[in-house]
Amino acid sequence: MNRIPIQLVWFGLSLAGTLMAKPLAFFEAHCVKCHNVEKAKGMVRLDTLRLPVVAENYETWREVVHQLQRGDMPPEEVEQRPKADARRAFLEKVLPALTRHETDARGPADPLMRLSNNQLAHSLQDLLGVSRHVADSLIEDPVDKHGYSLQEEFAISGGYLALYLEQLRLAIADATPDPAVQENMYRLTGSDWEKQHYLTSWGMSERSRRNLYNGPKWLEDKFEIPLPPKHEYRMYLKDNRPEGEFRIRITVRNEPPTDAGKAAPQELSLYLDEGFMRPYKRVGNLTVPVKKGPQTFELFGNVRDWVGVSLEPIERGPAKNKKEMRQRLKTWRILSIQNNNALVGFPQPRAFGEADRSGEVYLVRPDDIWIDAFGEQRGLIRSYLGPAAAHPGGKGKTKSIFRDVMKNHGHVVVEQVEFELPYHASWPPPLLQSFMAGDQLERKVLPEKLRAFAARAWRRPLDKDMAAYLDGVLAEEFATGATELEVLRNALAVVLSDPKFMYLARMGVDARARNHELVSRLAFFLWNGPPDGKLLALADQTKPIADSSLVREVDRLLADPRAERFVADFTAKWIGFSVFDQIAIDPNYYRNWRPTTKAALKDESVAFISELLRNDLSCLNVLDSNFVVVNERVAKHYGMADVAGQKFARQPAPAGRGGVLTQAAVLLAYSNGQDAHAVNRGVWLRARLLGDPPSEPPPDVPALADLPAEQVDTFSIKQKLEAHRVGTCYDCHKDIDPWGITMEGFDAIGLPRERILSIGAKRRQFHPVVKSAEISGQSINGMAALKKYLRTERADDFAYAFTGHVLSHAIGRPLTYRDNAELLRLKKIFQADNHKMRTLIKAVVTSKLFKDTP
Amino acid sequence: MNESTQLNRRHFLRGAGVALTLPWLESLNAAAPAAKDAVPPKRFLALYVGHGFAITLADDHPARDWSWYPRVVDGKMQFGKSMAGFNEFTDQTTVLYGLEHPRVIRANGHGTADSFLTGSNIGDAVKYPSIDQVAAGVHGKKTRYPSLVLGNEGGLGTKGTSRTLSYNQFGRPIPSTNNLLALYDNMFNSDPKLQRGNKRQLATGRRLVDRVLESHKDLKRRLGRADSEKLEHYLHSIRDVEKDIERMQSWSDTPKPKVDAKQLALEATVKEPAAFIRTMYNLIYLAFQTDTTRYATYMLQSMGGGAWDNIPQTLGIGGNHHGLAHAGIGRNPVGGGLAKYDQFQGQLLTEFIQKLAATPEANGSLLDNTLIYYGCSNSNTHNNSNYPLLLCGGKNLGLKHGEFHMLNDRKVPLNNLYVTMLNALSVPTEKFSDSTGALDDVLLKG
Repeated sequence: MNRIPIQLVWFGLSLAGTLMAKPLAFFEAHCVKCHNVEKAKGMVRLDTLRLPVVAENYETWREVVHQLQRGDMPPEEVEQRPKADARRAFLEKVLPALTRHETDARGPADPLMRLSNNQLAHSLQDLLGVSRHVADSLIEDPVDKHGYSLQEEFAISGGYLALYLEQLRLAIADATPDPAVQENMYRLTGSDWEKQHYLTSWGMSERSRRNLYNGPKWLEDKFEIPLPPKHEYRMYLKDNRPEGEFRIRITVRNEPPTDAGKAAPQELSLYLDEGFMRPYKRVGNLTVPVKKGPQTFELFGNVRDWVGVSLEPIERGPAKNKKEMRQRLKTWRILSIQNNNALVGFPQPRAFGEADRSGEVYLVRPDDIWIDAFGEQRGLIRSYLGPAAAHPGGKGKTKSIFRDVMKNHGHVVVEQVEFELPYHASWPPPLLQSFMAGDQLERKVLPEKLRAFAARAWRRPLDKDMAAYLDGVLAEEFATGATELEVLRNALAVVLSDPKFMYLARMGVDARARNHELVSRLAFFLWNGPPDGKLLALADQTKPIADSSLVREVDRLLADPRAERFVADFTAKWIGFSVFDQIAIDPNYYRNWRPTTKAALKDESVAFISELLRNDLSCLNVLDSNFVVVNERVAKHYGMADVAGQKFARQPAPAGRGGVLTQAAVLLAYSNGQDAHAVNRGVWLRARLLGDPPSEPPPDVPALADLPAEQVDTFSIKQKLEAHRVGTCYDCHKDIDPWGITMEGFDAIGLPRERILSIGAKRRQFHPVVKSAEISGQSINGMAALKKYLRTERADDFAYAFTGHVLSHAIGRPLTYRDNAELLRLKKIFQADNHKMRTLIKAVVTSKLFKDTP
Repeated sequence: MNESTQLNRRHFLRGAGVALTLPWLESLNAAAPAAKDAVPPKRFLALYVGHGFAITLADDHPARDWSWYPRVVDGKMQFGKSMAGFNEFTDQTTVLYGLEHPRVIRANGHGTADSFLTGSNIGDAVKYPSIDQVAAGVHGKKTRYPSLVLGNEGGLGTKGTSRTLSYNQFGRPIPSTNNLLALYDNMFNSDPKLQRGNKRQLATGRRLVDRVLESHKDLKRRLGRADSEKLEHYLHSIRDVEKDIERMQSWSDTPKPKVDAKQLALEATVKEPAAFIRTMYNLIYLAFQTDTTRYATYMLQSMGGGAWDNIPQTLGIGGNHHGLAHAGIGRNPVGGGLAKYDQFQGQLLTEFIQKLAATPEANGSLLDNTLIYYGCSNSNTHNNSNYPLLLCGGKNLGLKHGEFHMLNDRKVPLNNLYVTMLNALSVPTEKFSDSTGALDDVLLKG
């Protein structure tokens, strides 16, 4: 292999000497034999390619440089391969020309950059004080296939703006309820719990039901729902209005096992369904620490994200019969509380229903409690879902196990659950309050308050013109005869659809303006949201912000929970979640696959990066690590025992796992849903881990499926790829496929495999796994060898790649040749401090590239 | 709460009647009425009945005369008793056998209504828009309403047992409406009071646009000499929104078409199923005729149970539709319950088709410019394969009719049919959801 390390080429560059207008001797000697007018191999002609680099030949030149750097061209079978130093000399001539063209062609950077969907959505959350995240309701932002940021190219269209304005209107409506009219709030509180159970209103009055069970008084005022590990309790919410913020407030006790033993932290998850019988959707998780006495927790959301299935008015009187009751049920929502701790020594609950509505849990039902308390006959009551859902063994005759479980398991006892809709943290809500004088909206103070709001939303101090503009907006709105509230809402809409809000922009040339640009960019980089008061205060000075202050701010911003938004956004781009989302796992191949696992697999990758960042671990752990960061669902997928709960935490890596390459998110994203996809995996690895994305395939490449039918069925993937790697394809694929082949030991859902299933038209058959390949002259057999090779021999390339991805994410555009010097400088800093992500981030935000980005 | 800015979604979903999930956007889509085209527009109506039809293809089956599928005699289709009305239209009808959505073939037998017009698997993260919404996205701006999303039961239904056939550009369900009165009001009622709130909201939107345009100019000035392409994009998109508001304002000033409401049983309920469905068909007919919309989906029967599942009882057939479907066609030579129910639906549908056929248009009849797609995603006892499907009308769309096609040997996804249908509707389409090609050779005139 004549591979010149990619980065080496960059060192010691001097400006090219004379630019040649005549045919290049280097091409004559080594290239034109294939790339000429007749053969034009790979659709490339080099006999006519000349310097200087201009727009028309730019792509070809880039490709030439890329191929030469990699040592891919000329191919090995050519006799006259250039010597390494001839190649280097040639590159030294061409590279500066390429860089210069890039600089020239680019011209002055566009002074504007649109906020991404996530950034817009988080800004609305932060500025309006609403919990809803509207990014998914907008037209998707474009995604780079190699994971670099394309923010610089984010465009806006009429359709996009119309969708945004609609979401903006909804968010403003949520944030500014009429302060004079407290809406009729739905409030479900603890002692109402039994009334919520549908059985209580089926066919008989509250009183007669109560008589039937002969319940003691304590049921009325005391709420005691034991919730041991792997049990769920659910409540029916008799309110299906489709909009509004809600709060769930839950009071629980953490109890030790009833027989003996110690209490343990209990992990709960709360879910709402999207509408009756629709999948449960998580509201949030909480951990109940070991502490005596009741503890209260709060979770928030907006029911717009839990769209109901029916908008029929809710009937509240007793139903005539069971059938009517079931119909009626469909207009309700379900609030479910699950205990995720591990259940040991009991049969595990079975999944029920295909929809995976709640994961595997046992139900604790009100009737369990009643019956248990009073020994009434249980035959009268069956779970709506059928008895199998509640108890193993079936048909409602098996005794529930929750009481036995509690004997040797720590558990919680739910004392109180409150569901409030619409919920406002205070009344009137804080945003509204900020516009009020006394207890109402006052026309006189609106101008001043609107200016303060706009300064935050636009991330800059307002000058006279801007203030006058806002005053004009208010005056015009008032002129229509609208009420103060209408005026306020319309004015907020104006501020939040202004280009000064929607774009990161050049604000001016003086230091104060540049400071404001910088803190905005910093906040949108690390919080995906607008700068807070502290950042804006820091910007408000006549001198440029010192690097030491910036570095301090990085630590402060990363310590804030909002930094998780950065980790999620970066990981999504870097791993390629948009590709991941599009892969549908074929149930014929993976019978036990549950689609809901997908979300957890993405979370795993995010949690892993978060773990590296928060604990200042070396990013070389990405290549291989002796730990994994998993929760119960992911652990179960990997076949790890003894991991319970929704929360992701560091665990010792089981054999064969560790690093990113064995994360199922990566393996699944670069599969086809049935089988591994060696080419896609190879491409991913080269772009994300080596910073060396392969070039685009030439047009009209024959597909793999063009093999003769008998070969398609009988060839192993490696053989197929070998058949593919002839002629034109070979030149590129010889350095893509081997990477992917070494990962063949893992299937499309990221599990190790010994053989490869293929389901043909007539039969199912198995092929052996072939996972050894030659990479850079070394024979590498399987994933473990690959990881070892990467960590020992390609760590430098990885540092280069990772630096490039973080830098690209920060400045919102893919990198080009002209960024390379800066990239290498940052890489060195990253490497010098043990590959800490925090160090890299600090180096990036103090770099000229970052500061010069609008 | 004031009416200009606070738009209560429930009010909207229930009251607006026409399914406008994104009130602002979709109302923006409404465009000024075009001058009377010489060539009538191309319309599309998708109809769905859950659970399955009474079917057999065996000629010696005792209930063969009650099969939903026609016999083919001398190359000509002969419909049985449940679909007898179509014998009048055999030269404008195509029946298809052997197509299905491969992604949901193994799904629960009650769970495929959701995917009928999309081909999405409800478990997948990526979901596709339905065919009608794809068409409405292209041509919907030309009419007051881009599309109608209708269903006897109304709403979204539950996962797997959808009550709507339509899914928006993000693959999210659009609730269907069953509010006959509201449908009528929105499309045809010119009561000035109804219009006022709407106009007020448009005026607010208009002021917002004006303001932002002003701010845009200011920003441009501040940026000085630096050129910003993006600021120009922003200007264009604001202008687009402005144009849409203008269009909509012009719609709100455009008198609604006058139709005769006397024949519409707008108060009908599930207790009079025939009157209800007939009224819904009549509203579709009027909407097409007046070019109020060009695309409609109508869920006649979901698989979610409920009052509409019980209409066989009201009709005197007995039982419920789900139960009848489990029994299938049966072996009763005088027709089983399911076949009788098919007959009920078939009669109402052919009544509607007769009406379309009897309405002349510049180049033929309303039927010639309307593609009606009628079917189910179950064949026998909730099998999700070999969907029974029928196409009727749309001669002027280039469709070739008159045959019963057995396509089971082709092994192509149903979405190939949708690719052909979309192209016939002048929505250039190469790929739709999981399509692998098209069915032009089967459906189009040579």
